[in-house]
Order: sequence, then structure tokens, then C-alpha cells
Amino acid sequence: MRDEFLNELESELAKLEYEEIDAIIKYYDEMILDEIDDGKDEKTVIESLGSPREIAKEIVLENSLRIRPSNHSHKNNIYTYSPEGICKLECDTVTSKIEIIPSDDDNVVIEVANDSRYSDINVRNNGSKITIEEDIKLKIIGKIFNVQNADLKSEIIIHLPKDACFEKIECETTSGSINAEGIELENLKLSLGTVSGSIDLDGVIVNKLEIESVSGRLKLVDSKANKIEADSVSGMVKFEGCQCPNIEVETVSGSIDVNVEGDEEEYKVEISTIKGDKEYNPGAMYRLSMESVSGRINYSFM
Amino acid sequence: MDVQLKRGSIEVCVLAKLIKGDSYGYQIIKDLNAIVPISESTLYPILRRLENQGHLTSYSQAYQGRLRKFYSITPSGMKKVEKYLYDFEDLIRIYRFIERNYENER
Repeated sequence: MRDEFLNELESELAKLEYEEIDAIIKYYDEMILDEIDDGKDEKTVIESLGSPREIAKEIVLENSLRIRPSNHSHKNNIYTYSPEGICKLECDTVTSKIEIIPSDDDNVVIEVANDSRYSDINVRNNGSKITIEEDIKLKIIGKIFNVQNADLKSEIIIHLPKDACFEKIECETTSGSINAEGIELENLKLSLGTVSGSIDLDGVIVNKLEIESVSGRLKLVDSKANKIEADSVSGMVKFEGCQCPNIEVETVSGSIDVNVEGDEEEYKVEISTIKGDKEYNPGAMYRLSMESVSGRINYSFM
Repeated sequence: MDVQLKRGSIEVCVLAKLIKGDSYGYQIIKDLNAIVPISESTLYPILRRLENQGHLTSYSQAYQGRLRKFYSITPSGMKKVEKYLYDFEDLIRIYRFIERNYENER
């Protein structure tokens, strides 16, 4: 009830400056909790506050509050680095959608678009490592910064040149999704993680691939690596035509659907579920391991 | 009561309450309840205005795993209380005058 009230209030206040919304939501949240701690019933407290619409109206009238300008204050920045000597890239963000694509020229180009009222995205290059970090300015209790709000979503596009000597790329985002397409860097270890976003990889050829999510979907199409590890709690994992001699997929409740390019005889297949463990072709030289507590497991070769 | 006068008075009540010590939203409402019952939505704009005008400052403090915002009165807030008391002496004289004349006529 409290959450409902605060979320409604927040949407009624949507036109205000973020700092203002933040302060108001925190005020009402504290007030409600204090009244409940004082022995009042949650329902009574919420009802006596009145409707979120009326409250919002009153607050806006009373204060001639700062209304947020309607045009976005999206900031676009482009960083260009010569790939020489750079062997690592780390990208750690909260809301950003991350895209990794091949570069048109010989440089590493990082394109950043974000709402500067909400977060700063810092890009640094120390010669051997590029670091991209999102620094959130406002933390709010309600839902507005849970990034339903499209203009708050930031976007990072990483362009990688074909012959770059990257050894390791690590990208993390909380609510954003991660896409990579057409990346062919055979020495690269690519680690991608998201909490609620999805990860989509298409035509990615790397040395080692680690993808991880909590609730987001993991999808791998026409990709190749010497080792692939995919790990999700409730998200589904789907591989379509991947080439890899050592595959490990693990979920808790998400379904697993793996399609491998190759000969079934060459693979030792390990399946582990709550019902028990199975192993096929124990002597085979390649390995496909799939483990799930309650998710459905499916695999095929082509 | 005249809205402007009442609003101004509630502002000063809030400040006066803080003279003894810092306090937080719900406590302020409870303390004022006996004199002027105000709602949560009345208090918010008052606190905000007083803070913007520099009459009070706020800080957050952990309380049972959450944050509570405390308000403290500033020297400028003290001046506002003093000015209110001073100005009100004039008002009281006016009040007495009105009252005297009204009573005499009856």
C-alpha cells in the first residue's frame, strides 16, 4: 500500500525536478513509516493522507516548484582512443544499455549518451585500460529511476577495431541490456553481466565468453569461443548455432535451450537437474554441461 | 482565521518547536497538534520554504534501518521568531484597541 501510494505520488509529480520529487517521496515515506511505528494501521495512514493527485496539486501550488524543462538534457560524448597498448576495458553502469560493435576505423570509439541530471558517465584511459563508470547522482525510493523512464536511460556504444589486442572486456549493468554483434577478437575474454536486463550476442568470436544475469534472458547466436559459461537465475538461456568445445550453462529456474554446431558424438554431455545427473559419451573430447534446478533443459546439434 | 496570518504563524510555530532541539516531520506534527492541527501535506511546503529561506537546516540520521530527516533552527530562524514576537506586540495593541471599542459600544 505504501509503495503503491508513493509510486502514484511520484507519477503525479513527474513534471518536477528530480531533486524535488526525491525530497517529497522521501518525506512521505518517512512520515508513513513513523505513523505506522507509532501504532497506526497502514491503511488508515495512507487514507488520511488523501489522494496522491490532491497532494501533488497542493505541493506544486504551494511552492511554485521548479518544473523540469521538457526537452531532454541528454548529453552526448564521444571518446576516441588509439587501441595501441590497450588490453583491458571495464564498463560498470547502473541503467545503461551497452552495445559492443566493430569499429569503422582503427580506433576504439566510445559513444556515451546520458541524462546528466541523473548520472555522470566517466570514461578514462590510463594507457592499458579503458574504464567506463556511471555515477548516479540521485537515489530515490520510488519507481521513477527504475528506468521505466525512457529519457533517463543512458546508452554506451563501444566500437572495437578489428585488430585490437584486447585481452579482457568486462561490462556490468544493473537494469540495462547488453548487445554485442560481429565482434571477432580471438584472444579476448568477454565477461558480461546484468541483473534485470537481457544479453544478446550475435556473431561474436572470442577466446572465452562469460555471460551472467539474474532475471534477464541470455541469447547467443552464431557465436564461437574456446569456452562459454552462461549463468542465470530466472532468465532463460538460448544458444543458436554456437561453436565451442567447452560449454557450461547453469540456471535456477530459467529454461536452457542449447543448439551446438558440431557432431553429437564428439561431445560429452552432462545434464544435472533436481531429478538427478545424466552423462552421455563420457569419453568424448568436447564438453557440454547443463545444470538447472527447475528449468527445462533442451539441446540439439547441427 | 486569515489564511496569510495563519500560515505565517504556523511557520513560526514550527521554528519555535525547534528552539528546544532538533526534530523530525512526524514529531513536529504531533507537537503542534494541540495548538494547530496540521496535515502532513501542509507541513511539507512549510519545511521546504523555511529551509529555502535559510531559517532551518536539515540532516538525515539512521533510525531503525531507515533514514529520518531532522530539522534544526538556524540563527536566521531565531531572528524570524524574535521578529514575529516583536511584530505581534503591535498586533496585540491593535487587537486590544479593537476589542475595547467593540466592548464599549455594546
